[in-house]
Formats: sequence, structure tokens, C-alpha cells
Amino acid sequence: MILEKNENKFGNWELFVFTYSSTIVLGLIFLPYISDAEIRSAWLKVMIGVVPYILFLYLLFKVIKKFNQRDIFKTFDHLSTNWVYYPIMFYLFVSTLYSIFWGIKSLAIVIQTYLLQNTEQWIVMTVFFIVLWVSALYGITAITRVVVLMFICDIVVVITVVILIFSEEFKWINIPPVFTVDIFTFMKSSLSEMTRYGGIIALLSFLPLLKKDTNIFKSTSSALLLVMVMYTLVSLITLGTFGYEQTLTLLSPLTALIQTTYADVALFERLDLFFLTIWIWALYKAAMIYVWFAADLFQRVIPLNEKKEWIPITVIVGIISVITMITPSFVNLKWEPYNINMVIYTLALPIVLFVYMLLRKKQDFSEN
Amino acid sequence: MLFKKKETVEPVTLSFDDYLTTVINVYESIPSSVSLLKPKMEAIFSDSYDFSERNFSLPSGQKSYLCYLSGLINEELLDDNVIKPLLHREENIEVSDDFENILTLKSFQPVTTWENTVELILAGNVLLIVNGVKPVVLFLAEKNLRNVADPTTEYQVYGSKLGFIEDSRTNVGIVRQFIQDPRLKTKEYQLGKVSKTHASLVYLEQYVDVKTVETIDSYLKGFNQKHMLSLGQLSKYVSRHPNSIFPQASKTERPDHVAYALTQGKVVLFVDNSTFCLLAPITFMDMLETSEDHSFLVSWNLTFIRLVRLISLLFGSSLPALYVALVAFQPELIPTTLTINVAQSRAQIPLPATAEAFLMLFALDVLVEASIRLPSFVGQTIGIVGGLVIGTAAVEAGIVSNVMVIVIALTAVAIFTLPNWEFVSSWRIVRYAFVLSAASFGLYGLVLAIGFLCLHLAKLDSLGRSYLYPLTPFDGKELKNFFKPQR
Amino acid sequence: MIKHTNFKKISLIILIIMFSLSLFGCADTREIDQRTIVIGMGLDKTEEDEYIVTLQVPILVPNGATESGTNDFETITGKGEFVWEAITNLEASTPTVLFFGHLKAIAIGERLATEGMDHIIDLLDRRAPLANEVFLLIIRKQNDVHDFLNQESPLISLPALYIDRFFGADQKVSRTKSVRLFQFRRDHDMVSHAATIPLAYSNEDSIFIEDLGVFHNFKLVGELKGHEAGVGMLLKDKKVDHMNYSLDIEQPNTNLKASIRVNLVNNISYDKTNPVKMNFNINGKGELVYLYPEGIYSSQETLNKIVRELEKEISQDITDTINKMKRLNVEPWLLGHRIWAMDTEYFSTLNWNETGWRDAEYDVSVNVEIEQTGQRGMLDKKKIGD
Repeated sequence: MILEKNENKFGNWELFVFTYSSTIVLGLIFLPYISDAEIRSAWLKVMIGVVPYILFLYLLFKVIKKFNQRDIFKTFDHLSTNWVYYPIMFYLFVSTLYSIFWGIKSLAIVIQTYLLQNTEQWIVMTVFFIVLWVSALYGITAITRVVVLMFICDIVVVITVVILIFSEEFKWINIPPVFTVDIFTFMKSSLSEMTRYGGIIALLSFLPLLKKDTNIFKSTSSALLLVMVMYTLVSLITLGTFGYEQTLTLLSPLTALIQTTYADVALFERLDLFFLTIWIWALYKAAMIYVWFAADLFQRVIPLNEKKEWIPITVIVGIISVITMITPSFVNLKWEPYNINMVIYTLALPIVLFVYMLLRKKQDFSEN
Repeated sequence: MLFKKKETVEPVTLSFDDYLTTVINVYESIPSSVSLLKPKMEAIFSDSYDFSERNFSLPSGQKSYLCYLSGLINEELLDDNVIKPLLHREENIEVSDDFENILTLKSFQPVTTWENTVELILAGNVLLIVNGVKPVVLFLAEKNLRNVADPTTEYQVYGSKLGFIEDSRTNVGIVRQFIQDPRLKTKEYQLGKVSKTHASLVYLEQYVDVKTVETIDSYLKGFNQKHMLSLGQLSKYVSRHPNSIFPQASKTERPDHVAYALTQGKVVLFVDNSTFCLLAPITFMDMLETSEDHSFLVSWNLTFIRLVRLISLLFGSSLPALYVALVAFQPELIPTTLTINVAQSRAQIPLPATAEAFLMLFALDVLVEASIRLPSFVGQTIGIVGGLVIGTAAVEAGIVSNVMVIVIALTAVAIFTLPNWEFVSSWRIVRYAFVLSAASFGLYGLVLAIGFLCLHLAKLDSLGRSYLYPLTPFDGKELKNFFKPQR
Repeated sequence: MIKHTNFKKISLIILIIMFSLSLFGCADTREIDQRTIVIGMGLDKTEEDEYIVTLQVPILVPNGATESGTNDFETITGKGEFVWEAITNLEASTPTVLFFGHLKAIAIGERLATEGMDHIIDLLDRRAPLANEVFLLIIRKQNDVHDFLNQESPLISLPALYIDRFFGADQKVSRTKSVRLFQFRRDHDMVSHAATIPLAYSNEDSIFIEDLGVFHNFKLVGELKGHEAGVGMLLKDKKVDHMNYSLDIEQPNTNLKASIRVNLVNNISYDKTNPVKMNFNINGKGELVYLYPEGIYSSQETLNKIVRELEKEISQDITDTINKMKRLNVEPWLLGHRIWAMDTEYFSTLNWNETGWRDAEYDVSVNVEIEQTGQRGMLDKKKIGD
């Protein structure tokens, strides 16, 4: 066994898992019908929603190649003036906090519905925030490693979902008709599905940590496609098992599905709660990634030396915990503003920036 | 970040050098006359009854003086090879080189500094001075060693029956018998300002990562504590995260294990006065293997036994917590008939499941701790009495439920399938933490605790290598190799 | 990175917070023996229009306390203006908290079912601890729901578990079909708003689960009896296993009697006419399990005769069943949904729920093949000589 060199730099597999884990969080539990009004064939929207993000990755890849620099923010800093750079970084920072808040709020709802019905929300959340805070202090190396380690759980979910297709309850007849609305309504309602891929934004800070020979586009896009396949399967299976009307009313269709299907197969009576534990891990991983990402953005605005890394993490976790505590304990989640912001923050803005950078003259910003 | 230790420790002790300055003037050169040297040596070794001296005159009339610490030297050799030849010498001795022709001794050297001289005497050597000649140190040390014997703590069925002893040099020799290759490199260190313990670093060049050797070399060179009396102390010193509950080095007293570890690219640290040696860097997976695993004739046995250990680890650490979470928080997870059974067994139990779990876990650990140090026949008695009392009587008395007893028994048995005792102890602590989190927040608490534990394990590294390698960073080939080694 | 002088302080603070939080966390601790495990629930209406709720709970006796070791159970009943009120009223009469996590079956009284059970479904949908996979049953009028749940079931000590096992081994049920809560809701949400729930009753010594109640808009409107339940499965799931037919075929001397167990597969297609014309192309594989009188061998000729008779019988059953539902103008087999899913525009021209189904035409063709004639004993061999 020869010791591995450069263990602190990440390779293709880490990049793949990182992309997958930071993306597949809320979608897994809430798809197919997330927003307030939904069309029947949400699975189509999920498939189409991935296209802009593949474009995102492609442009990202091009920009990296052109400037020979994996740190996009650095390139952007070089190419723009301060009054453009700082507001945009600030907007990204705030939006990241917003999405962390959103994820944690959904965690609270799921926990209070399925696991701890009588415990008050602030207790459930405080526990999570303390664990999250200490975890984020562990640094990106540990976070990436644990994400890779826990990918075993994600594989279990993938297998489960594939098996569910072959369950007796799944009926193809529930899935059509495919298209009953006009194309405009379809595109408009696709916005909410598109945001399920928004987690990919955290890559912007992760890419500089990779080994030199990593194949960025291949790893990230294949991870994204796997996410797309998972989302499509989840949407199809829940629709095929419960039908449109019932799926629409379920808080978490996949949880309900696992509850119904595995009832008499396994050693445990209700596997849905075990599925929930896996999902809590998924959310925990993603929350760590995002806190780290937000801390990274913070440090790009206010540079700090290594010994003070704990400051941004504490600030971020503090802000989110305060926001979570002061918002009402059960909100009928209004997804609309969140979705629109997600589309701007993870898709529109970055693509505009990439295009802008591609239009600029070629320069070499590599470190060495 | 957390659990990373301080970089520098400021010693506040009076060092040996400082002590010498209070007794003698260390900047003076060592005198060449008996009448000057003798009082100084007596001052340095005052109040030590084992400090022996001898005055005698050579036939030539030169005065001579010998001093040493009795019990550390071979007195027969001193008589035969030093004193006798000296007493037969007729001519005057002019310079210390003349000793070459007089003494029938393997080696000696002229003294240099005071510190060095005193150190050499402490190591069991003899100081000889002949009036007018520069003093010499005669290397006559003889350590109190026992013979190489069976390993007593790491019992194996099929492994070799050879164990290390308390002398690091002998131990290195034993390793050389296992790996006869010039690439087996050894370095030696003296650790501890007061104890001055001899330590040796052994590694196999081209197998080991150069960086690992450099790291541990710099650690050992920078060792600035007073004493180095136990291996555990050294282990904590070379660990990057000494506050973690997981060991980042393992110890063994089996040469075959050491030889296997060397071929895996690990470094081995021997320390005098300990029959164990340290292996580093180690990973989580290393804790699941023994050198004996490879003595299976059928490779699938190894696969099976390692899978059993891994699953036992999962069970042994989380089963009581899972029981608490399911019984007290989420009974809908248990199959209905089992739920009714569990509820029936708990119907008359006054304690809540959490207290029950803590009580039983504590009783289990007390039992283990009580029987571990006792002679085997008393240990057996304790095992039987404890097992009967805790198992049967507690259930009959209605203090704990019988399902709980099954859970604890399974847990106890499962965790002891792990070959590394230190590692087992770590997981016993983890078990309590799991039960606590499950008792507070049910499945949710347990899940968070497990997630955090994974993160903690991922953070750990042993001499720069990830603790969870090859799980993360993922190395499929190495992982396959762990469960089914190639031929 | 945190300064190390602060490390101990910070970890101490975290520990203290965690410990104090764990005290709060115990809000949800409820030991398994502090819960009253409800495994069966009965719902009905009294004549005064009050809801009456019956819960079946096991009595928890410590192990070894009783010699028999069987699980005893108790049923408790409560009344209220709302279902939930009735349940909360019950809480007053149980020592510990009611726990619905292990609910296996919900028995609904026929009276309530006829009046409409939309109120109940909503309650069952909202409560998270209640699993989605509970079985639904309609208890015939001849029994009180309370009596049904109080019935000592044969073989398995808890009646609700009996129901669970009964449906768990779904091989034998071509005369009824298990329906779980979510299945009922799903089928009911489809275009024809109709679904089925099995019917059950008990007499003094056993529980009978057979036939299907047909629901339209959450109201019990009809029944599918005996073979009709099996035919329903054939139309809805496009296949049915183990339908049993006994034929009595007239012959010159003695009547030919035969019993056949048959597995059927249905192939549905439709012509886009108005009203729609559906074609049921049914293929089956049968096993001859009984043949009488002696001396008549399962020769090809006999088999052909049996098959012809069987096909006629099956065809007749299907026609009868469909006509029965057409008279009720209820279509619980997703036939309309099939059309709707494939061609929504065409479906909208049919006016399905009002007249489309009632006027629909259909054509049944049955084709059965006897695959086995009971090979355990080769009963066809003849003796030659003495």
C-alpha cells in the first residue's frame, strides 16, 4: 500500500460526489410537485430543467480554459471593477444564506411531521445549528471526505428508487397524458423544477481545490445527469403509484411511497423513517457545503487570515439560526420568491458573468 | 481546526544540564588527575548507594580511579578485561591511546564534556582515570533483559508465537529476522531530558512515503518533554489530534504484525522498556485487521471475517442507541408483533428505556473492567457471577427487560470482535454518546450523532494520511484489496 | 481556526448547551409501554348521527404472567359529533396515549359508508403517524363494527392482525381484493371517481372477508359479489389469478362435472366511436382440478367441451358484471381513465360520467387453454386385461 500523494487535493470522484451531494437535497424529498400550482407531467420539466445547467457547466468550463484559472471569482475580480465585483459577491452571499435557510426550514417541517411531533421547533433547530457550526469548522477537506463516505447512502437511495419502478403499485396508466397545457405555461412552471439543480453553484468555490488533472466538465455534468435521472425517476414513480391528485397533496411523495411499498418486505415496519434519516444526512452534507461556500464568499469580500476562519462560519450560522427562529414555526412554504431568486442566483447571473468573461480578451491568470 | 493540538509546549522543568551547573562548573574541562576528578564525581552522584568507586595504584605507581553504577555493568568483564590487565602493566601510561594495548575490551572512548560523561555513566558504563592521562569511558553496560517470549496480550490462533521484549535494539533485531532487506532502515533517538529513553524508528524504504518519515522524524527530534516512560505518551505526541477519542497509532507486541505493517508502508517506533511498539500511520480499516487474517488458507475466509468485524462494529456501537430511539421515540418502525412483545416485556419495568440502557451499558463496562486485570480463574468467576446477576436476576427482578438484555449482550459480544483493544475502548465511549443523543432526540438525534461522527473520522489523519482511507479519499482497488487481497 | 486557549472553554459551552437541550428534547419520549397501541380501528355512525369509534388494542401482560402466552385484546368505544372528537373522548378512558403508528386496518360500518366517508378520508390523510398502507374494510350491516372488532378471530389472536395476514397472503383472494388507504384515494381521484373496498362480516366463530363494495364519490353504491370481484380485477388490473369455476355440462347420460382454476389476462382496446366501443380480449390458462363422472377421461374432446363451456361462463360473468355497473352508472375499473390518459380530447367528447359509460358498448372474447389436468395422479390411464 503506497501512501497516496496530495491527499488534500480532490480528484474526479470527489468532484462527482460533491456535485451530486450539493445538488440533490430538497428535490429528493419534495419532488415532483413543489410549487403552489403544478402541471401533471412534472417529470418532463425536471428533464428539461437540467439543460440550462449543462450550459452553465459548459460555459464555466470554457471560462476556466480561456483564462487558465480555476478560481472563477479571481478571474472575475481581475476583469471587473470593484463596484461591480463587491455588490455581486454580496448578492451571492445573501442568496446562499437564503437557500441555506430554506433547506433548514424544510428540514424543520419534515422532522416535525414525521419524527418529533411534540418537540418545539427551536429545540430541533438549535441542535442542528450547533452540530452544523462545529461541523463547518472542520474545514472543507473533512467535509468533502465525509460527503464521499456518505455517498454509500446515496447509492442505497438510487437502488431503492430503481427497485420501486418494479413494484406492483406502479402503473404506467397513471403517467399520461403527457402534455395538456400550452408551451408557455409549461415553461413558466418549469422554473420551479429548474431550481432543483441550483446547488451546483457551490462548485465555483470548490473548483480551485482540485488536482490539476481533474476532468471538470465530465465529472460535474455526469453528476448533474445522475441527479436529473434521480429526479425524473422520483417524479415518475410517485406519479405512477399515487396518481396526480394524491401526489399533489403529499408533503413528501417519496417518503410516502417508501412507506407504502416496503411495508411487508423488510425487517422494519416502516422504512420511510429510515429513508428520512438518509435524507437528513443529505441535508446535513449540503448544509455544511453551503456554509463553507458562504464562508468562502465572505472571505473574498473581507479577507481573513487562516486563524480567523471561524469568524465567517460563526456569523453565517448565527444569522441563519436567528432568521430560522424568528420566522413562524410552520409556514405554508411559499416557494415562488425562493424559486425566482434561485434561478437568478444560480443560473441567470452566473451565465451572464460567464458570457461577459468569454467576450473579454484572453489573458492568463494562472498562479504559476 | 478543533482537536488539533498546540504546536509548541514550553518546558518549565529544571533540565539535567541545569542541575549539573549547581554541582560543578561544567565549562571546565574534565581534569586528568584522580584527586581532582574524584570529589566532583562524588558530588554529582551524591546520595546514590549504587554509585561504586574503586581506587588502586598501578605497578608503575600511577594512581587510578574507577567509578560506575553497580547493577548496570558486567562486573566480570570489568575484572577480567580492565582491572587485571591494568594491574599487570609495568610501564607508565602516558596517553589514553595506550589503553588500546592494555585493555582487552571491545570499545572505549576518551571523555569529552561533563554532560556526555555523566550520561554515559548513567547508561551503565565505567569511567576510568589514570593520573596524568585523559579519562576514558569503558563501554561495559549490560542491561537487564529477559529472553524473547510469547506475546501475552495479542492472542492468536495461527500466528507466530514470538513477542517483543523490553529492549528496543533487540526488537529491531527481531524485525530484521522477518525482513532481510537492506531497505529496512532504522534511526535512533533519545527521548526525554530526564529519562533519556532510547527509541528507534524503523521503516521500509521505497514502501513508505518519504513525507511520513520526515514528519515523524521532525516530531521525534523536537521531543522536549522530561520523561518518555510509556508508549501511550509517545503515541499522543505523534498524533495530530490528541483530543480525539480515536487512536491514531496502534500498538502491537507481535513481530509478524510489525513486518506486515512495514510492507504496507507504515513506520514502526520502538521504545526501550516497553514490549509494545507503535505503528503509524494507521487507518480505520487497519483497526479491523490482524496479521493472522492472512494465515487463512481460503481467501474468502478473510473476506468474511472482515465483513463480520465491520458489521459488528456498526452493531456494537449503535444497537443500544437504536433500541432507545425505537422504543422511546419511534415504535412505529418495529414490526407490530415485535412491538407487542417488547411492550409486554417492558410492561412491569419501572425504569424508562434510556435509564435501562445506561444502567446495562455501565454494568457491562464495569464487568469488563473488573475481569480484565484479574488472574484468569477469578476473572471467570466474575464473568459468571456478573453474567448471571445482570442477565437473569435483573430480568427476574423486573429491573430490566429481557429484550434489553439481548441487545446489550449482542452489543458486548459484537464490539469485542475487533482485534484492537484501544479501538474497542473508543467505540465504547461512542456508544454512550449515541445512547445519549438517541435518548434526547430519538432517531433524529442518532442520525445527527452518526453524521457528526463520520465527519470527525473524516477529519482525522494519522501522519498525514486520511483516517478513512481507502473509503475516503476513495480508492476502489485498495478497498477491494482489503476485503479480498490479491494472490 | 480557534485559538487553543479558548478550545476547552468553547467545547465546555457546547457540551453544556447540548446537555440542556437534551433535557428539552425529551418532550417526545414516550416509552413503548406508555402508548396504547391501536392496531384496529372501527368507524360508524349511530342513528343519532353521531360518529362511533371503536379501537382494538392489545392488552400488555408481562411475559410469563399468563400461562397461555396469547395476546389478549380489548376494544374500546367512544362517541362524538366528529370522528376526532370521538377519538379524543376515547383518550379519557385509556391509561396511556393512543398511538396509531401500528394501525393495520380500518373497519367502516356500512351505514357510514352509504352516507359518505369523505370526512373520514381527510382525517386519515392529515395525521402523519398513521401509515398510508392501512387496509380498509366495510362491515356489512348485519354486524356492529364494534362486534366485528371484538370477534375472536380464528388462528391469529388479534383480529386486526388477522386481516393483515389475510391480505398479506394475497394469492387466495380472487373473490375480494385488498385495498389500502392510498389505493382507495388514488382510484377515487381518477376520472370516474369510483373505487372499491372489500366487505366483511363475522358470525359467532369466524370472520368472513369477501365481495367488494363499490364507491362513487365516497358513497357506497353497490356491490360486486363472488365472481364479479374477480372480474373486476380482470378489468382493472388486466389480469386475475386463481378464478375458480365449477361447471355442470349437460350430457346424454350423466352430467359432466368439472372444476377449473383459471388465470386470466385481459387485453383492452377501444374504438374511437361515440359512444365508445371497448374490446376485451381475454386469454386464460386453466388447470383442471376435478372431473366427474369416473370413466370420462380428460381427452381432447372432453377438454374442448369444458373449455367452450368455461369461455361461455367467463364471458357471461363479464357481461353481467359490466351491465351491473352500467345500471349503477359507476365505473370502478379505470376503463375511462385509460381512454382519458391516451386521448384526452376524445375522452372529453364522451361525457363519461353522465352518459359515456352507461352507453358504452363492449365486446368480450374469451380464449382459455387448459394447461394442466392434474398431473399428480395420472387418472387417464386404462387397464388392459384383468
